[in-house]
Amino acid sequence: MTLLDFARGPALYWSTLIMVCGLVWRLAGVALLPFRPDRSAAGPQSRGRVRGALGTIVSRSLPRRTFLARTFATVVVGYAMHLGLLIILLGGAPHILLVAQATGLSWPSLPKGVVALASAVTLVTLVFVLVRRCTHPVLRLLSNFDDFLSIVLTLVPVATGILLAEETVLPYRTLLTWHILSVEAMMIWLPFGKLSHVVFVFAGRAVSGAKLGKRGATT
Amino acid sequence: MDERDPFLNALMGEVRMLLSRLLDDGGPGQIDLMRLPMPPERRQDLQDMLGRGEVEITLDAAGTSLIRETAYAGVWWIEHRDRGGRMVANLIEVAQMPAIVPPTDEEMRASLAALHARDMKEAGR
Amino acid sequence: MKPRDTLGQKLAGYGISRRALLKFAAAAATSLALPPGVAPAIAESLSGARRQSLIWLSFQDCTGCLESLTRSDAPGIERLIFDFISLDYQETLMAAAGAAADETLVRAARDNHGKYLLAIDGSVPTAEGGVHSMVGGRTNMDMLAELAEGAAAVLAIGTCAAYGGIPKAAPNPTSAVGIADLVKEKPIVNIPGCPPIPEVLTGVLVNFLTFGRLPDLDDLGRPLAYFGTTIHDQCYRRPYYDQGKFAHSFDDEGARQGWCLFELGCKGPTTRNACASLKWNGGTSFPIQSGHGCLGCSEPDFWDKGSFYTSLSGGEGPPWDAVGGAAAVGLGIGGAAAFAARRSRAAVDRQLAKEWQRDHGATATSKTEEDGP
Repeated sequence: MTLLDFARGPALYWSTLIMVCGLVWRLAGVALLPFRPDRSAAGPQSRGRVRGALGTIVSRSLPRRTFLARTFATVVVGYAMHLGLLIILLGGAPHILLVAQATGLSWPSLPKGVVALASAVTLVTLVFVLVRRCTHPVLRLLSNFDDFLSIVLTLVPVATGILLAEETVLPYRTLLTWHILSVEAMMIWLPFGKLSHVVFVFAGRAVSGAKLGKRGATT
Repeated sequence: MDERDPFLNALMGEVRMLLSRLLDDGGPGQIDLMRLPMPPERRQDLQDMLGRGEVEITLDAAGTSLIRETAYAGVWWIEHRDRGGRMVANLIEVAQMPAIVPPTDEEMRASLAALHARDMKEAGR
Repeated sequence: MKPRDTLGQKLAGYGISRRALLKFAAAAATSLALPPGVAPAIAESLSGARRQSLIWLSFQDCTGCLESLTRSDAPGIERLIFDFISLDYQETLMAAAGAAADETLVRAARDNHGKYLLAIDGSVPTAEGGVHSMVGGRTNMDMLAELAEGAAAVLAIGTCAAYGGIPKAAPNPTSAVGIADLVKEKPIVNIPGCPPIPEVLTGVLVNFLTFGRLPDLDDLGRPLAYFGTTIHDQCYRRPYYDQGKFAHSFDDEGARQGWCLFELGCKGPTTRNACASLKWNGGTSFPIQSGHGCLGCSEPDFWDKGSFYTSLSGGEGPPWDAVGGAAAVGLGIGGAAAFAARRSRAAVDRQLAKEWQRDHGATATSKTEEDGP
């Protein structure tokens, strides 16, 4: 069995199972926790739970005007990276092919050039984020192993994916192998570290949004 | 293809170098065109660049080969084909005469012997 | 056999001229990726060479390799090579049979001991002492061990001989292996392919006759001159790949336009062979040109790498019941964690209620959960 066969076979199998198991575990663990009934009276400016939840999902995704000058770069970089990842994942022809062959679902792909541009932007922003986390004194103080591992595990698949798409530096087979393996490493880590924000980010915002919305607090 | 195709310019540069070496008595030289990335259009462009000279030789040995002088004296275009008509080698040879053409002394001696035998046979008749 | 015969004399006898030989040498130099200047040297050493003895054994094979190598509709110049070698033993092609054939083999191996080339097509079964394939009462393992000992070099022809091929496919009931797994002491060249390309065998033989050794090999024992690049890198449909133009099914517009077959399972990007440049049937075509993706037949274990129609970026799809099982396990762990949290919280609540009651006596009858600590 070559490394590529391993990557496409057992490694893919087990990383998928670990990711699914881990995600369900984390979600169920939180969802089944006892919710304290919110017995507070609705405030005078109450927006209700649902509107509060939806509103917060949106409002927390936008920069606050007060801090805009200070956070502008972070916001732009964050958006560029996440949009880039989205474009790569949902627009890249090989990724659509993967989903189509696994599930039968298919949609049109984006032109290779667009995906290449998105990948380049994503890579640059990820490198920027990593370097900044290493150099910024406060950020460095706040960061733990999880933060660095999560960034690196996102960065490596993007880097190998770019090389693979351009077919440079190393042979196609080697690049394909390491691209798949690096994605699998990311899948395994995904439910357990900070990467789990893929499922928790909006849920968390919705919960606090619902609570604050009912009370009519300005967030 | 563009007249200034950098690949073909490099190739023409090599032809020039081989010809200059030949004149300095560095011996003949060849370029194997089949092992170069040569799509049909580029091959045609190269042929157009080299042009055609006055000599064209057809070699009939285990298939038909074409040996053609280009517009540049001493630069030859060679296409070897097998019995099925398939090209098995495509070369540019820079030489006074492609090595495959002139007979060797050994072959000529064999011919001389054959002619001699023929004369003897005729005389004996 | 008259070993004193040089090829030059022999070819002259066949009416093959010096020029035909030079031409063959030029073609061989091209094919072996040697500088064209060495063609006269190749011709020279070929004409001075003695006929090379070749012993060819067929093990666990389908004879497709031999068919490929001997049946060429347009007799190309490379067919000349078969005048350069003395095929001393080949069960399918030889007239002799039975004891006479066995005698031929013994004689050829004895007369050319240490000098003959040993060619093998088919894998070698090793289960139960190798009884799954026998010739004249002897196992393939036995014959290989004996004949490889006296060979100058071994040619593993076809994917079965090179890497075990189809007999080795899971579950490999005969424990089939490739030649290189059994022969360790001799130089071996693998010429994989199902079947292999005839010109590659020719090239390897010319290399051996000219330089007295096998050509340079890659890490899988294949001649670099033919297996140095992937099908994908030589493919005429490669520009469509780069432009992102793919056929999505075998009868769509993309297929009619001759676009890239990657999505239909083409293994060109991970397969090294010379099909895309040398082509088949006298340079007529090769699978991709005929509209079908590359199967990757010159790579080890190509038979066990999933469907031929699954793309390299895709997979067979996850095993949904296993995924469901994983989700159930996740639900179990998460549920258990939540349950444990509920229990410990309930215990805290009870404790708090008890303390509150103790502090405030029986006057209070209710407690608020909202304002817990």
